[in-house]
Order: sequence, then structure tokens, then C-alpha cells
Amino acid sequence: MNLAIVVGVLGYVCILHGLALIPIILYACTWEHAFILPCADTMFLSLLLGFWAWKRYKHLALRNHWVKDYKNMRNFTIREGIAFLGCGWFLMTFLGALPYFLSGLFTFPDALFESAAALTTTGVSAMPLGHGFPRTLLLWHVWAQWLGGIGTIIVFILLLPRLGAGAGYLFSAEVQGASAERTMPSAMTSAYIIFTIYAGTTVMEALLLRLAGVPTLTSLAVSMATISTGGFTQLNNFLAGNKSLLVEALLIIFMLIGSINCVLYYRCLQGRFSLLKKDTECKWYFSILVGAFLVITFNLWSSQTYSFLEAGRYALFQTVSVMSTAGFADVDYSTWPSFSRLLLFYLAMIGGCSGSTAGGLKISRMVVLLKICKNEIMRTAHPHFATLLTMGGKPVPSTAIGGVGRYFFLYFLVFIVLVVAYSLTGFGILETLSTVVNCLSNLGSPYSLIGKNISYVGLPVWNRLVLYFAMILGRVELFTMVMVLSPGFWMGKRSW
Amino acid sequence: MNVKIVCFLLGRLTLYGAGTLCLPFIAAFFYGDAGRAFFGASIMLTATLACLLLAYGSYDKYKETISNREGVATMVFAWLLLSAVGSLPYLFSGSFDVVSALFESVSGLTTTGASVIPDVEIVPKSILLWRSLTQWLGGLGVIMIFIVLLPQLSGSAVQLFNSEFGGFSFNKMLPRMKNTAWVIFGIYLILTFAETLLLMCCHLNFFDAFNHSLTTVATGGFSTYNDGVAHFHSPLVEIVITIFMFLASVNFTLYFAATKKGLAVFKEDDEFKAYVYLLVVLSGLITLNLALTKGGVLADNMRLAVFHVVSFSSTAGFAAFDYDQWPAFANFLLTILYFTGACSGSTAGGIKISRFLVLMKIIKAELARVLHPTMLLKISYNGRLLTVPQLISINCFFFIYVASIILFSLLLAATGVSMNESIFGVASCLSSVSPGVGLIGGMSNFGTLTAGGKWVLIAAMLLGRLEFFTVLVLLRTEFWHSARRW
Repeated sequence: MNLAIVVGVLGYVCILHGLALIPIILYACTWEHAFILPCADTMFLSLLLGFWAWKRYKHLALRNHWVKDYKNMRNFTIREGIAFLGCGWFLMTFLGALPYFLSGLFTFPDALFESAAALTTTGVSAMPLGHGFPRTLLLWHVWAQWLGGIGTIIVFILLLPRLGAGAGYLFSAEVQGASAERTMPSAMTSAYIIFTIYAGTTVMEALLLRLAGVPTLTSLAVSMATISTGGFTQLNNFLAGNKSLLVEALLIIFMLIGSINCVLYYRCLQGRFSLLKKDTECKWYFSILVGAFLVITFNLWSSQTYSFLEAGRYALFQTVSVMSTAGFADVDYSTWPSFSRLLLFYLAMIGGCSGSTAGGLKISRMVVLLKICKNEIMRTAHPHFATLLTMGGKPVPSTAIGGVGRYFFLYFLVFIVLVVAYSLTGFGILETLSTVVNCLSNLGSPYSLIGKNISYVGLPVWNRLVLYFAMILGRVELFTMVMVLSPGFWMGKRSW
Repeated sequence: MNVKIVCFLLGRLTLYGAGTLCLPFIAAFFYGDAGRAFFGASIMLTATLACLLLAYGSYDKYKETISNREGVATMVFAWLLLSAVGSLPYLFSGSFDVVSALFESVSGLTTTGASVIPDVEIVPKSILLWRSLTQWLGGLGVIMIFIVLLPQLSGSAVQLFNSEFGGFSFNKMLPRMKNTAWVIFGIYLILTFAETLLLMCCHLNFFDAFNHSLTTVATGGFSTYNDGVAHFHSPLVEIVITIFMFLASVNFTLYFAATKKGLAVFKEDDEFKAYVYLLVVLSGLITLNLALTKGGVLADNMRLAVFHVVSFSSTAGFAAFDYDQWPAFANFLLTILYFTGACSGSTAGGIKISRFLVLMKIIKAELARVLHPTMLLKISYNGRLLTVPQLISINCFFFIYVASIILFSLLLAATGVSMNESIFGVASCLSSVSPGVGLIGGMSNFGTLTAGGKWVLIAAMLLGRLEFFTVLVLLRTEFWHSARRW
């Protein structure tokens, strides 16, 4: 492995991280002077680290002649790509934790947790809810969430033209899911396009929310949290206090927009709207949503939890919020009947569409898995039956089919390991399941999907660590992350 | 689809079902309990049904046309029919409604061991014996009897034998299947009688010892007492049962092979090694967890840990202690065993260790492929190379299993059952373990469920026992279009 290159690129990331703090510092200068120092310190540290790493990389690369023409960076192979991706996440969460930690309000594990919750668009908080989370930190949280939402990588994709063969891999790992078609011209262009769409929808939502009467800063924060399908629990009292149907409707629309494959918007920009209708994943996503919404409405109504209209309203909002893994909650659903909550729990595990900022297993994988099963059932009756699996009319290659099955098993395995690890400190069964899913799917709901409501305040350090890993594992493509966490990856001497 | 031949086979099977019913009938006379009437009526009814089926069906004319389709249909309907036959004595006893009787019968035949009887200690002994017998027969697999009793069926029986007994196993020894079947039957009998003897040495009376042996060897888990094995307060009994649960959860074809090639076959079998390894690790972890959180005597903790680990992995589901009181960590570890189950080719349910082994190997291979995308990978199991369709099929099985848990737990929750009870109850019924947590936990029973809830679990138990595909294929309309023959 060519560590020097990894370090060098990570240096770039640090520099960008430092620059990302500028708007936050400006806000602190204007409104909350107490937070200038923590943020400025972090920025200084990030920049320092970044420039040092970059310089070191350049130096090393030139000295050892690893790269003759370092602008092409041909040595940036898959192995380096994975190392970069893994280390990048850990480094970013570490740097992102510094403002929280330096402000003196958080212990370090709490700060790290908070930072991971932001970057992975989970949106849980280690601070008590509704107790005046400092505005600067709140802004930093949603801002990090917004950046993390597009997959921090997509911002870094701006660097990728400098990289070689590994670049394509990075892109496929970040905008994950079994997308059968190779959709966009080049990593660079696609990064720009996705970034524009992402920023555009955010601004649009902020404007609409402002028009609906939400204060400027809140509308900005909420829209950043919505489009990144993060949904910050500290923002939740805004929803609970603001019982406006209009605001809820806006959130529903934008949560949906945030959880649909970005590529489709790109197609729409090209004027090919028919693709939006034809997209298999999209169809499934909406069918599942509508089905779950109807069933939950009926369940809430028949169990006399709410009147019919209220049931519909809450059911719609919660279904969309959970499935897009935003995790906003306009009502405490821990009192709902067990059927509805269990359904929400499973929906959270499935998550939204691939190529979006939503977490979970992704609809496309579920669709492929269901189709495999259909074929497999056919083969029980007719063992020599030749089967073909298609998505949207196009055959899916057999390697991709196998890959989805494997991914599902690995997801399950990771889930079990996390659950067992989490329960070590003596948490109950349902609470453990619900907390782990909350983090692994990057949902970040303030209420427990199943079991009693639990607070993320004052968790033991061990549980913080487990959840920290859950969030990161859920965010990055699993095989990549498991690879980074396995010692063999780092110790392997063989270079292919 | 050739209905006549399916009817013929089902008729034969029902006839043997009626024959089996005679055993508790005799026992009822022996113990002088009220069972005489129930069993007499059941035998009459079953025999009539068998005659009707035999009269309608015919064999010789159609035996050339038996295909995979008839095989699949026969198997699924055999389970349904035998479940119905098994529920007759319960129904006639008058203390069960239809769904409860069916639940008890399905739970028996699928070797699940979930009971709806609130107090088994006041139930007539003949009924208890019937309960245990259904498990014993179910554990053997109806199809095993099929092969033993219907030698004519050899051709298409291969497919049935595989899907029923093997799960996923390569020690099928197809050429002399009838022979294999007999040997397995013999091993099953020996295990049963050996355990009865040993339990009687532990001062159990014959009835208790026999019943517990029947249900242990079948890895079913019905007991003649409300609090199960905990009733005896005897570490010795627990140890004996642990040993036999373990023996019953090992691939039976390994025993067959061991008679020819010696004990080395155990050492060479990947699945057996992985299974033992899993048991040791999980027992160790749970012992440690119990020792750290609850304190107490180490030997007791270890015994209980091993007992429950073996009980859950073999999917017998005996409980020697109310494990609901254990920490969540220990409970989660036990839950993992719902999924893994034990070795293929045993009487245990669940996904089976062999499948998990292959799944783990796939993951390992895939991790290598992340780095080297064009690498060619070979995945082998017990020295044999697996083909891509086989791998996909295993992945698919795993997915169906998890998807079924999701679907059935939602249905169960819709009947008003709480969340953890629905998740774990369904998982345990699919794997034929039986006790879940909470109200349907180790020290309780399923009697509190609503009728809807019972139907859901009946479906789950049957699906899990028949390993999904066989049942699901019947749900496809395409299957019934008899015009097309493949």
C-alpha cells in the first residue's frame, strides 16, 4: 500500500474541513462569542494537519519516485481508495468532534458520538433534548450533516480528477446500491451535477419553509437536515411546537426528494421525465411507502389511538420520515400499537433508494433479493430451469446478483455483532435492537422504534463506541468498511 | 399434476398414521385414562380417510409419471394431512378448539414443541404420549418413513429426501438410499432407547423417561411437566438430556459413515467442527456473562449455559431455567442460535450450520474480491467445489428466512402481541425451537395467543420445517398448470 498518497489526500480533506468551518465561525462571531475559540481552534488544527500531510505526501512521493507524474496519481489503486475512505471517515468524525469537545459542554466520547451522528446523517444527539443546544453547535451539526449527507466524498470528488483508477471505485462505493446502469459521464461532472442538485433543493426548501413562516435560521437548519435525510433530534421540538400542516407537508416532500436516487434528477434535468416513472426502484419505494402508510393509518385508527384524519397525518409523516431515514418525529410514537412500531422498525432497516443520502439496506437490494427468491422458487419445481433476472427490463449480471445476497448476509452479520456488543452493558433486548437500528440505518429518531424510549444522554463509553461504529458502518458501503476494520488489510504485504 | 398418485401416497401415509395412533390407544388402556375414547374415534376416522384416499388414488398405472411436481405436492400435503390427523385426539378430548388442536399437532410434527396447554400435568397420559410421539415421528421426517415403507418410490424420492432431510448436505449417499434410510432409522431408535435407559438410571419413572427421550432425540422439546426439565431439579438429568440433544443435532449420515470409516469422519467434517466450536464459544461467553452479572457457583452457571446453548442450537427448546431473567447479552447469544440451528441432516431446524459456513466463506471471498475485482474465487465445502447457482440458492434461503421473520412477526403483532414476543416467537417457531421470550418464554406457553396468532405461528412452523421453497412453489399458479410438463 502506498500510504503516502493516502496521507496526502487525507491532507486535502483536512484542509476542506477547515474551510468548511468558516461560516460557522462567522456565525459565532456575530451571535455567540463563546464558541468562536473552539471552532477557530478546530479550523486551525485542520488546516495545519492538512498542509503538513499534503507537504509530506508531496515530499515522499517525489523522493521515492513512486509517482513520476504525481498529477495523475496512478498509484492510487483500490487498496489506497479503501484506506482513504475508511481513514477519511474516522479522521473527519474526529476533527468534527473538536468544536463540541473544546466548547467544554461534551466529554470526548460524547463529542465523537455527536460528530459521527452529524457526518453520517444520523442526527441523534448526546445532549439532553430541548435544553438549549447552543445555536452555533447546532449549526455546525446540521452543516456537517449536510456535507456528510452528500457523502463527504462527493465534495472530495472534486479532487478525483487528480487520482487514477481508484476514482471510479470511490464513486461507486459512496453512491451505493445495485444500480445496474452506468449513469454519468465522469466522476468529476457527476460530482458537480449532484452537488448542484443537492444545494438547489436545499435552498428551495429553506425558501419555502421561510414562506411558511418558519424563522430564517431554523428553516435553513431544517432544510439542511431534511435534504441530507439526517433529521436532527435537537430540531425536533421545532416540529412538535409548530403544529403546522404546511410545514409538515413541505418536510414530507423534501424528505422524499432526499431519499430518491440523485441520478434520476439528473435525468430529469436532461428532460427525460419518463425515466422517473419507469424506474423500478422508485416504483417499489412508493408502493412500499403507500402500503405502509395505509396499513399504519388503519392500525392507528382501529386501535383508537387517533381519529381517522389524525391517524393519516401522523402515519404519513412517520412512514416517510422513517423510510427516508430522516428521523424527524412530529409525535411520540412510542405509545403506538406494536404492529405499527414493528413495521416502522422494519422500514427503517430497509431504508430509501440507492444513490440517495438515505441509509439502510436500500430498496434496490430488496427488489433484487425478492426477484432472486422468485427465480429460486421456480427452480424448486423445475431444477433445470434457466432463469434471468431483470431490473427495469435490463438483465442483471450474475456477479451483481451474488453481490446483493452477500451484502444482505454481511449486513445481518454486522447487525448481530453490534447488537450483542451493545447489550454487554446490560441494556434490554428491545432497546438494544431499536438503538442499533436507529444508528446503523442512520435514522436517528428521537423516539425508540420498538421498546421503551431511551435517552442518548450519558450512555456508557462502550455503548457510545458501538453506536459510533454502527453509524459509520451503516453509512459507508459495508464491504469497504469491514475491509478497513480487518487487520489483514493493513498487514497484507502483497501488492497486486 | 397427477392427482391420483398423490392421493395414493397420501392414503398410504394416513394408514400408517392410523397405525401410530394405536400406540397411545393401548397406553390409554394400560394407564386406564380417558384417552381410550379419543384415540378410538381418531383411529376410526383416520382409517376411513385413508381408505377413501386409497380408493380414489392408484399407483401402478401412473408410477411412470411421477415427477418432481408430484413429489413436492405430496410432501406438502402429507404434512398438512398428518397435522390434521395429529390434531384429532386433541379435538376429541374436548378441551381444545380447532385452532389450538391444530397448533399443538403442528408444533409436535414440526418438532417445535410450542404448547397451548396451560397445565400439562392434568392432561391424560395417553395424550401426553401422543404429543411426544408426534415429535418423534416428525423428527424422523415423514419422508423417511415414506422411503422405508414405499420402496417403489425411489426415483423421485431423491428430491424429496434432499429437501426434507438434508437441508444442505453432501453426504447424501444416494445410490443406496433405502439402505441409508434404514440405518438412520436404526440410529434414531438406538438413541431413543439409550436415553430412556439413562434417564431411568437417573431415577425418572419410565413414562417421563420415555417421553423425554422421544422429544429429545427429535429435538422437539415437549415435556410432561409445566416447567419442563427444570421440574426434576436434577443436574444429572440435565446433563443426560444435553448429551442426547447434541447427539441428535449432529448430521445422522455422519454416524452412518462412522460405522464404515471410523470416528475420523467427525474430524473431517467442516460442519461438525464448526458446530462444536460454536457451542463451546457461546457456552463460554454465556457462562462468563452469568458469572460476572449474577455470581453464583461456576459449575451451575456452566451447566445451565451449556444446557441452553445446546437446547437452542439443536432447536429442542427445553428450558431448565427461566432464561428471561438472564441479561440481554446472554439472551441475544441464545437468539443467534435460533438462526444457526444445528447440522444439516439432523432433526434440528433453523438455517443450519452448513449454510452459515458457506455464507461466511462467501463473505471472506468477497472481501478479497473488493481489493481485486477480477479475482476468480472458489468456494468449497467439505472439499467439494460449490457452483454459483448453489451459492445464490444459499444466499436466497437466508434472505427468505429473514423475510419470513419480518412478515410473520408483523402479522403476529397485528393480532395484538407485543413486539419482542412477536419477533422472537416467530423466529423460534420458524426454527422449531419453540420458547420465545416474555409471555411465550421458556416457562410459559402459547395458550395466551389469539386464534389469529396461532394460525400465524402454525404457518411459520410448517414453512420453517419444510424449508420454505417447497411450500412457496405451491403458491405459484404456474405450478398447477398441468398442461405443461418440464
